[in-house]
Amino acid sequence: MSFIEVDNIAKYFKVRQKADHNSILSNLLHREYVTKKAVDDISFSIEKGETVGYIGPNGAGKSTTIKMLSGILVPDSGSIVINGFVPSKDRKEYTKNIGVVFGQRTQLWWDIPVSESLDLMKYIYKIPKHIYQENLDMFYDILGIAEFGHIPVRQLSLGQRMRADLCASLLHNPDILFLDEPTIGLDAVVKKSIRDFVKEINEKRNTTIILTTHDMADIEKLCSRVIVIDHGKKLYDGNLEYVKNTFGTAESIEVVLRNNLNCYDWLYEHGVNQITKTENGLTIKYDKRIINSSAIISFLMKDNDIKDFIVHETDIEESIRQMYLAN
Amino acid sequence: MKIYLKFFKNAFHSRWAYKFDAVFRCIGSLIEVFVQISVWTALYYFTNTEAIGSEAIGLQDMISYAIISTGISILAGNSVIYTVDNKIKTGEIATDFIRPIHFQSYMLATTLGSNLYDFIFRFLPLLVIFIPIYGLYIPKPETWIIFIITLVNGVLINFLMAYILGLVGFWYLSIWHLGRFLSDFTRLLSGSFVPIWFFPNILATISLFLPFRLIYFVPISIYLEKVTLSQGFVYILQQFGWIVSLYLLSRWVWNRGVDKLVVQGG
Repeated sequence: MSFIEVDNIAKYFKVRQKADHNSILSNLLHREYVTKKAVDDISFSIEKGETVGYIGPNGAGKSTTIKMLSGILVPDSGSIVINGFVPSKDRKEYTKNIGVVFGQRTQLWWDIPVSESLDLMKYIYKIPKHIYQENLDMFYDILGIAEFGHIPVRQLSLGQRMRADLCASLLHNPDILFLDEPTIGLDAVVKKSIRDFVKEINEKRNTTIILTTHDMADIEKLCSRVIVIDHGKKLYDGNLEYVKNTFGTAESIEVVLRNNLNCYDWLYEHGVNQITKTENGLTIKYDKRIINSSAIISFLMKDNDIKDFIVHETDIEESIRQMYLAN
Repeated sequence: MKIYLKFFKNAFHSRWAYKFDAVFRCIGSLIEVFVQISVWTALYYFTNTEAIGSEAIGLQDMISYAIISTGISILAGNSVIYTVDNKIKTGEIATDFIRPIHFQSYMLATTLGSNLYDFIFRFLPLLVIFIPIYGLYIPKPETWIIFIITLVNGVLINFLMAYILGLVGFWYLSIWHLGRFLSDFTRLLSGSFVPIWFFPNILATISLFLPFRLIYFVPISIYLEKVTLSQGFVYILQQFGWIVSLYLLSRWVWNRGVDKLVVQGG
């Protein structure tokens, strides 16, 4: 039995269906509901200490799954057993050992200073004083909370709030940390510090990490394993490299030239897929398994004056779309 | 246990941030009591009545009644219905779900904390104003004990009803009208304004089967010593019965509601 065992879980939501005719009366009297399958027969197992990226397009069912794993929602069918507990039934015991960070919502109290919210955690989780102090000092230092610990949460910036939430979720040394879009809306500096911190927690404490995100860099930095879902179904469960190499191979490069280039068909011989002429350059689409951006640039540099270029890698949504189409 | 005490203290303290609010609400309660006293005074004066009914309720009794009733309404405030509903609507309840705390106890601790604050800063100032004018009825020590027990029980009953109605937010989009229902029903059948001594027979009978009178009328009539101590014990038993039943109902509603929870976002 794995540490986290998820078997055939499903979650349905009833959505009001507007009646065909627009009259108020028929909308009142004939209430039709459509059942939306947010999660539709998903199974997986996770061992202790793994860091798993749980990814998919918007509306795929990621957050719904996380909410079921953390015990907030009850699955309509199937079972979830984590460390011997059923999250939604053994809530009091189960939650003592989990930490959750919601990117879109804080778990701290709005009107009181961060430090007081964190102090409440000590009582909620019954954290022994020395452990609480040790963790608090370490997190204050690494996450830079000292500079805003005395400020009420409602006055914090998003980056500060996220760091405070992360701190709050780990004070009690949970076995599992759920991160639901933890870097959404953050600048690059804060993102990096959060990623480094999470990685360190996983390495030092063997904390199992489950992360949902839209940011591929989060996944690349933290996860070796990804589970891809779309429309409530599991599309892929395995190595991240495989996803990128199999479905994320389409790249494009935008080149801005100082000179005019009218003859570029020769590029096709080198394995490029599509070239579009733009106002002051070219947009070139290619398969990165066949040719890469530096090769294209070096080819162009021979006879052209390159002012600027941008490489667009395939984003995760595109990779998943490709994966879905392939299925 | 410590954490619920902390929640209680926190709720108390967070009310402190809204000092002006307390002042205005205090004035509001002052006016409320004054209006009630004026109504009863007018009633007794213009009908030339000394005392009404077998319990011989006089104007002085009714003045004390109005003051104590206002005190109870502050202690038994209904805000938890909106707090719970708001948590469900905004999805804030998800945060409560991921913590190893008993949600109902948490709600009770915070409700008691803020209501106690209101009681101290909204009601006690009223006593400072009204007691010098109208005097204060002081019952025997034994009566005090029974009174306080029935008062606490009444607050618990009121909390449970408001809490259960707040949980209905798991099912329905808006429970604002339910909140109004609760206040209106309470006002009608609890004897908070018009004591049950003055009720027409039908209404008096109906109120016997409902818990509302156990929140207002019963504690007040005990305080004013219009009932015997043994009758007081009977009332306490009735209150316990309601508390247990409502508690079981609240667990049942909670368990059903948890299945139905929809948390937006993600």
